[in-house]
Amino acid sequence: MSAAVGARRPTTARAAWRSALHHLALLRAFSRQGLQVRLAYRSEFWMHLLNTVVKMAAIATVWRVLYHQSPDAFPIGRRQMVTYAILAALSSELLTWWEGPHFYLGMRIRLGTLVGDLLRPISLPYQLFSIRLGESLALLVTITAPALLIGGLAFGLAPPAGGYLAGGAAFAVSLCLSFVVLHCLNFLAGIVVILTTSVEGVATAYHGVMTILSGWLIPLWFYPAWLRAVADALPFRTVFFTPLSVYVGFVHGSGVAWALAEQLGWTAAMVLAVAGAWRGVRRRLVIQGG
Amino acid sequence: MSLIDVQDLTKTFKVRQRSAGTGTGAALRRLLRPGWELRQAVSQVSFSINEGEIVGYLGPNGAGKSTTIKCLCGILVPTSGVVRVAGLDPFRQRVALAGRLGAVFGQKTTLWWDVPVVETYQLLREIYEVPRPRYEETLALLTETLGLGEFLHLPVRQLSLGQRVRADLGAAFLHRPRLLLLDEPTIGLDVAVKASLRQFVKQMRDLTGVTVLLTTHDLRDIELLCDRLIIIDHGRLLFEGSIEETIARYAPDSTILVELAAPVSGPLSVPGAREVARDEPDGLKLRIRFRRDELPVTEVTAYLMRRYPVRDFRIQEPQIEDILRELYEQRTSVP
Repeated sequence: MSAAVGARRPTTARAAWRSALHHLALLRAFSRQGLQVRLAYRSEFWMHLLNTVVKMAAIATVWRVLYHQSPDAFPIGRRQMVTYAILAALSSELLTWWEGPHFYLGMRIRLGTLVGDLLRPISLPYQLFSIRLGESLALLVTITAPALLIGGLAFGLAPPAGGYLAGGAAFAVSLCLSFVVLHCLNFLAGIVVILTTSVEGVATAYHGVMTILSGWLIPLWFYPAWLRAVADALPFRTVFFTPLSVYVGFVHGSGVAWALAEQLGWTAAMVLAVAGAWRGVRRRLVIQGG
Repeated sequence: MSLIDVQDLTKTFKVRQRSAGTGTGAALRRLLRPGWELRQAVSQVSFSINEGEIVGYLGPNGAGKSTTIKCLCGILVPTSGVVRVAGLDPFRQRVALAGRLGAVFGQKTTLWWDVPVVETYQLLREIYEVPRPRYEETLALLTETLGLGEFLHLPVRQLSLGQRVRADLGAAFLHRPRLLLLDEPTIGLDVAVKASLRQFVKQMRDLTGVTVLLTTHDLRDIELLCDRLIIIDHGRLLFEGSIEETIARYAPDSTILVELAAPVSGPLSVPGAREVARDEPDGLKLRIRFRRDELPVTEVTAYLMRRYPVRDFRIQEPQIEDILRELYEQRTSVP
């Protein structure tokens, strides 16, 4: 029996290794695909870059003016606030939270082309995650990095609150978790789209909630206590408010670890929620056309 | 050995009720209390398909063909009944089955719209974990048989329909599936492309032993490709068998068209025939319909030659087209 176990262990290890390699290869392939899609229309690329810079500049200017008017209302310094605004605009652009699975699922269901995705030997949430990640990596290189450079030169970015190494790493980890949480939230919204067959209705409501409760447009510290309580009880704030708070030092010291732990908890909960909801909705799937 | 086993497959959809009246009042009522009704897309269908067979899955529009195919891919869950493909339960083991299955839906592409075909193929190679040498080999084979070379490096949005369907077929075959599901693969294609698709399917079956299930409204597809037909309507199995068996079962009659040298007056009769008709206006053309198995053709022609001034005659054998038309048209009389 011990021989059998001994014989099995390397094979499971090898299988796990093979599976990990497969996933890496997939990710690389999807990233290449994402890059291809992003670069398919050259004029769109330049417009996108311009759009990002303008958005970033607008938000940063607004907060600079507001800060000038009443500096006492802010719990962080002026430079930190401008940095929050720039990073909020850029990470929002990087995660493109207004696109993603909810629109994708809605569109594919309506056209009846979800069939194509369901033919592939990968779970659909994971498949969409890989495509999304590929596109975001492509965006990071082509749009976000240049825009960040421009923003940094034009407005003067503050360094991460915890220092370049620790603070930067905490921000990066937090942003990665943001990506997963956002994907899950979008996918859940997509499931609501499937159930209600209303892309516009669901998207409008969902985007409103994201704008108010995620902290990408308005930092949550400005909210009245009741609204803050609502935001705190929901996962949306972990998408933007958590990483940005970590970067600008609104949370600091042991608070950073807490914030990351909490974000990790939400990430796990959201992943489970997506898996459960997708299992449920797959049974109820009706594909248009025939 | 059977690759597909379907037993009493039933799929019921819940659809919004449409018969709840028209006008604003009815629309408002529906908004508050949407009426649902159950529609049986497929009802107690059973069949099995052997490895290496090419089977035509036929029926008029809305008969339940695509629903069956989607149950076979594991995209839809059967309401009841048992479906097994390569020994797997498609819905529960969708991911495991997906690697052994290729599918083309003629009306919808599964390729990525904005990237060159070859990029999608590379991605599919990674997804299906096809070893590189095998991928190169299959791609070379596909390029040759489907003529992919001319558009392999074009983005899908720039392809013509014929090129797109060929690219889709290639994509479905890259991982050398054991089962190929083709849902109206030749729809809207020109004669030459249709012919090359048929040749491809047949060639791949002979080469790799892949099992093919296809739905089509194209009679040449049926005649040239299918070893066997499965015909359904209203979600129910109507018939299962070879083309010859289908003809024998549904069109037992043959027709002889006769051209006379001179008009014949008085009533016409041919002993044993089911119908004898005179084609107007000049009355020089006759049409005699009879059961092939009851009455030999030679007997009918000999009788005609003896009795009438026959100038020319032509024997009309039933075509699968007539049978399908008849089968499909019967549904119009069913409410």
